[in-house]
Amino acid sequence: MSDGTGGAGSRGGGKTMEVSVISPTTAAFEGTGESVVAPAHDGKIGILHDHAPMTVLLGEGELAVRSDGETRRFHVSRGFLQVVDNEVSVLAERVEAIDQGETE
Amino acid sequence: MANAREIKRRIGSIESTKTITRTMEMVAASKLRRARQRVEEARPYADRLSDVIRRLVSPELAEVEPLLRQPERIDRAAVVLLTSNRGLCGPFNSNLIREARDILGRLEDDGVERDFHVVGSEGIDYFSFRDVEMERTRTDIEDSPTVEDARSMMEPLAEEYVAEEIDAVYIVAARFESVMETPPTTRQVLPVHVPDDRDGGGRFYILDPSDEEILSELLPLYVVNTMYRSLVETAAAEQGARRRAMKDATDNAEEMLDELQRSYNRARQAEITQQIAEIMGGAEALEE
Repeated sequence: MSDGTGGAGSRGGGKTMEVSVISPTTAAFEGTGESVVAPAHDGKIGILHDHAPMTVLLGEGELAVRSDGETRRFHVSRGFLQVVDNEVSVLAERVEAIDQGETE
Repeated sequence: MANAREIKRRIGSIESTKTITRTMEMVAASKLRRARQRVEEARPYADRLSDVIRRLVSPELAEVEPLLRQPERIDRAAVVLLTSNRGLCGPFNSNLIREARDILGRLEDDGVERDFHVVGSEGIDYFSFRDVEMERTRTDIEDSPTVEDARSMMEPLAEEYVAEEIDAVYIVAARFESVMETPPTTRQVLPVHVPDDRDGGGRFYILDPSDEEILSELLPLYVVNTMYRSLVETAAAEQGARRRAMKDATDNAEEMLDELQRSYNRARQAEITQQIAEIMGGAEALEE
């Protein structure tokens, strides 16, 4: 999974994280990302490199993962987001990719 | 010995049966491929979800969270049996039915009232023929079950459990270990059993909102997911069983065809020999 740029994040130039977006039926995204903006239960939350370990409940809304200069967007509901050692896992019962280019 | 034409006719009929079973085998094989993929893709979500729940649960929370309530005594339990809507899949359904009868019998021995839920025509037919009372039945779960299917099945049961109308929920389904290994299994969904090996990672850091609130959101997801996995694993096992049954049928048909072809050749030869003998006899009679 790790290609040397993620993991502990101490190596390599990019300040990235291993991001995975998982639903019961599929892994919608797995890879390196620079930032994650997620719909938490009480508002938006942004995650960057070296975020403190955290588990947060998600509400319903748009999840944006910035990866290689591209932003991938998903509609998520019912789930949680977890950060540990620059690994961000988003688990949601419903994950639907939003078409690229449509938004902004 | 049957005459050659009769044998020829049987060969034709077995040929066409073989075509059908071979086609069904191939259809099942391709459905199995997709179903297996669904089983595998369901794993990461289930693993992570149970990992987080395992780390959130504490003895104090187990006391207050209704889905973690451990009843002192089980007075009434729901048993959900998953079978297929279609047959022609060997002993697949009868194995599941036997497992369900076992658990129903055991609960009865323990003096537990039983709500019996059955999914799939095969199971429903079996139990309605034997006048077994069924609480709810469903035949609308297709080859590719969805999370919504699982939710619609699990939600009413979870509500009954929270209302303390039932004290346990069991799912009887196939566990998909591999294509060849799909044993019928009984899973206890409620009360949620949390494995207590808490060596992995320990307690959490920042929790937003509190552990109690997160847990009460995630437990229903976990319960629905257990049902979802049972549905996809059973669907995959069904296709595996059908492929195997149809392959056996195709092989049998081939064997029968071999044998019939041999009998046909023999019958044909006997007929010709007889005809020659008759001609020879006629010729001899003329000479005299």
